[in-house]
Amino acid sequence: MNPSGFRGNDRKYLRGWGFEGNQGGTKVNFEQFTEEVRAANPAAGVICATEQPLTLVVDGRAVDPAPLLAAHSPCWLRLDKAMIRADGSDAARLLVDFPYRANLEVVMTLRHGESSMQESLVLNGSGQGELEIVSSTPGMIHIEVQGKPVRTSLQVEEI
Amino acid sequence: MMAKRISVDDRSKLEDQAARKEMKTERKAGTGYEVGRSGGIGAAACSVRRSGGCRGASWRNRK
Repeated sequence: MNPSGFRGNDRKYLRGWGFEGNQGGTKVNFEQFTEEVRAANPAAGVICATEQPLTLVVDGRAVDPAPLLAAHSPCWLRLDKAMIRADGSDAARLLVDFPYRANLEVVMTLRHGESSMQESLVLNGSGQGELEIVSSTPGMIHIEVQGKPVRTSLQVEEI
Repeated sequence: MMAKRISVDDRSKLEDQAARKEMKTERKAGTGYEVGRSGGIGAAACSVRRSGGCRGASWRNRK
């Protein structure tokens, strides 16, 4: 069988290769992890990954995810709503959850149309911090953690 | 947790919005003639719009 012919989450197939991943209690942001795998294998054609159990197949070759997992410091960006009104007062709360940066500063890039800005936020002891985002111009706000493939977006609706 | 509030705006749109607002103010305060940034829309166009004729078009034509 051609491994690259399989789609992302075919766990049965991956088990068939005798490859069993284990997250070992470590929290993993799967989307971030797959981008990190991609960055570590720039020449790879097809990368298959399963989330539970955590397994990795690069161009049909089983790869031990442990080294990448050891370097993985997961971060989450969560918004309490998907859309705000462009009235300058309707706010969305952005929760930054980055346990590895507890009590430290995290820098985020926020892009809105042709403008972009950087905002730093000091996280608490649990690695969490909050921002309230408002806007006066309709469009889409793209939020990204600097240096991490972690991003989200917020729609701003015209009033 | 006290969240910091930030305003994330598209500057180009914001400038456009400010310019439109300024033009509205000028029109209200002035003689009724529009003072467009690119030379203005004359009295005729203004009166047409005032009659409700081509409001949308005049807005679109404005630079």
